[in-house]
Amino acid sequence: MTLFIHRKNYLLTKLLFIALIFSANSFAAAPYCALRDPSHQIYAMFPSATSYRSVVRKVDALARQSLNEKLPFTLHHNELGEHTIYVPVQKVMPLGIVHVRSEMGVWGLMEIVWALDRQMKVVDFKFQRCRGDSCKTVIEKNIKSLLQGKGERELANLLDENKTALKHGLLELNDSELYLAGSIIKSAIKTIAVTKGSWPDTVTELQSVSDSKQ
Amino acid sequence: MKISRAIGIQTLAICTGLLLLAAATAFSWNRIDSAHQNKGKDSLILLDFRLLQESVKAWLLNNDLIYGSGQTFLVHGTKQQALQCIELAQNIRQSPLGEPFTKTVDSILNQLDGNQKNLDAFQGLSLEQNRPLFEHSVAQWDATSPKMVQYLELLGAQLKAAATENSALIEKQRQNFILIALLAFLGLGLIVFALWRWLSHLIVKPLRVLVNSADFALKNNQHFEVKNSKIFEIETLGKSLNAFVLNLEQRVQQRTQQLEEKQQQLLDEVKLRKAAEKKALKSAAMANASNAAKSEFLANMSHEIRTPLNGIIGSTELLLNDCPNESTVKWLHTIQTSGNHLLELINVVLDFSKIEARQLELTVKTFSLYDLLRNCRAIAQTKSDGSNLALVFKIDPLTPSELHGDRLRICQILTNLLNNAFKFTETGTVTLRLHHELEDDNHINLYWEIEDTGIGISKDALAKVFTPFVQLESGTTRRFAGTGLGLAISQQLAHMMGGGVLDSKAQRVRAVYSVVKCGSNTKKTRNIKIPAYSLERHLFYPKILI
Repeated sequence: MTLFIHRKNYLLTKLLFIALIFSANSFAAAPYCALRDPSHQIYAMFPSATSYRSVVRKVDALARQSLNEKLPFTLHHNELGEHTIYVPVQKVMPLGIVHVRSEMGVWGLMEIVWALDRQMKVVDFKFQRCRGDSCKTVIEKNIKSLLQGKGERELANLLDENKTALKHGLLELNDSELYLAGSIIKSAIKTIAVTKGSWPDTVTELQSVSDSKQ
Repeated sequence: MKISRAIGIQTLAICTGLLLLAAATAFSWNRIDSAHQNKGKDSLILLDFRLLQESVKAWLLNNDLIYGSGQTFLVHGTKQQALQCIELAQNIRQSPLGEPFTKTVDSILNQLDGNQKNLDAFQGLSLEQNRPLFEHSVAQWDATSPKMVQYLELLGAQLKAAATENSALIEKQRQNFILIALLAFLGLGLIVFALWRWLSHLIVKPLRVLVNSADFALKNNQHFEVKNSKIFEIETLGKSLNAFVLNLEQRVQQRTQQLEEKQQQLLDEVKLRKAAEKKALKSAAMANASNAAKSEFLANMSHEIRTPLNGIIGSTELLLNDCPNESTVKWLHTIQTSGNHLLELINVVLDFSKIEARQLELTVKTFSLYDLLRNCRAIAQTKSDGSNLALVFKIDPLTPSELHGDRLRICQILTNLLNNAFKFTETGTVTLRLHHELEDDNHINLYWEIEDTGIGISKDALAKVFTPFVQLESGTTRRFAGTGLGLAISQQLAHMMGGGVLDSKAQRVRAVYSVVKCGSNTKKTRNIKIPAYSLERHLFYPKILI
């Protein structure tokens, strides 16, 4: 009985809180972005970079709707607003994109710094915030090598039927870790999609550089 | 020891053992069950922990959102969640399962409390004015919240491991308990068996010995003595039985002695009786011889008397035929009457004597029933002439007319009975009835009933009427003349024919019934029966004058 009351109170509190958040978002623009500047990660993920530039864009409802049509999941309202991507350059030549995104993890929100190449394929990623042992475990079990070089479609193929977790058998992970891996992949797909949708000129620029290189 | 005490001890021991065992079983099982619920895999604390996990996840998410968006007005909501998480963590801390992991739980509580306090500080503050402080707080959040998750995961692992270990331990305890309980029940069973054996040894064995001894003594006809027993009741029973047996033996001896004495007495008596019997037989033989001699003498003498008497009667008739004077006729009539009467008496005595001397034989011939009846009527009418009596014959028309038997003797019986009826009847009717009964195809029984309306006879006197020479009353004897042999002769004749006198139920009878059985279509002599006097039958037949 006590358990039931606890659970009930908890659910009520949670529902109230979520309702407050939604109502706050509906009439107030987000005044603050906590996604921190990933300057250290930029150089770590693109060691040949000599500098980088920031490109700020607003991810709006339109971008959200266009993403809805492409993806099996959508952006949260909290993910809308002004966002910054970073373009590391070697002298003047852009090397790729660094994009930080938040995603629902096992323990709260996690922040992932994504490094994409000029073809919008995953180069690397780093956790800027991730709680729980699973974060370390999935890295240890080589999720990076699974994701590296994969674009949107290849990444989507890694998800299970419900599009919530990594398919079984690809890596030796438990249920909780599979869910975390699924969240990481979803974050990657969103990152690529949002980048393509909200920073099309930057993406075009990078692709042209890439084409000229080839 | 008394049986009741022995049984009481056994019952008490069994009941106490059972009660103690049942109580111990229930207590131990309850303890194990309680331990399983509090510390095992199914412990509710594990559910509380799962709830705590989910609450913390929600709390972390909401705090992340606040730190991410800077919407500090939402802090109050997360505070409620933090309090919920704290309450759950404290529940776990106080539980038997969570008690060993107090440090871990305390760390979680500290993290929860500290982080929430950090966030609480921003409630109602303008973010623009406090941005550096808020960013510092975000950095601190990022540094500490993973630690809390680490502690939480550690607690989860610890609780799971402890619950698994406890469950295994409890399961082992349960198995041990079942084994111990089984052993205890087995032990109790052994105790019960031992008590049963003890009781059996104490009670049943002496009883069996008692029964066997009694059986043996009974079969071998030996002296029976019960030995002493430890059991009070059996010892008492043995003593009583010994006393009873002793008493019984004494009584048997006494009775045997009495029987021997009685036997001796009987033997003496038998000797005396035998002697008396011999004497009686001798006397009877002498009496019979004497009676036979008397009868023979009477028969001879009657014959000798009758011869001169016939001479007297015949001479008297001859004298009367010569027509003497009136005075002489009168005297001659007196002589004739006296002679006839005397002759009649002598005939009767002669008949009776013949019967007694077994010299009378029935003369069996074929005769006509109606001739017989006619003769009887003629004889009877001579008696009834000049009186106020009516003679009524009632004959069954189906009676065969031709019969085989001694007509004269039948007629004599009927005449005797009719004469007797006329003698004791002053007015009214004398009725003779005849009906028959077929015995088989060749034999028929005739039933004669003679009834009168005379003075009758008492039932007590009825038995005497057939005794020879006996008349009912001295007064009667004087009033009605006779030898007292008529009915005796009739009865003897009837007996010779296989008949007899039947009993009567009436107090005073006024009728004589004869039954004459006569053979029809055979040459055999048939019986004559003289049945009892009966008054009732008189009422049924209509009077028919013949």
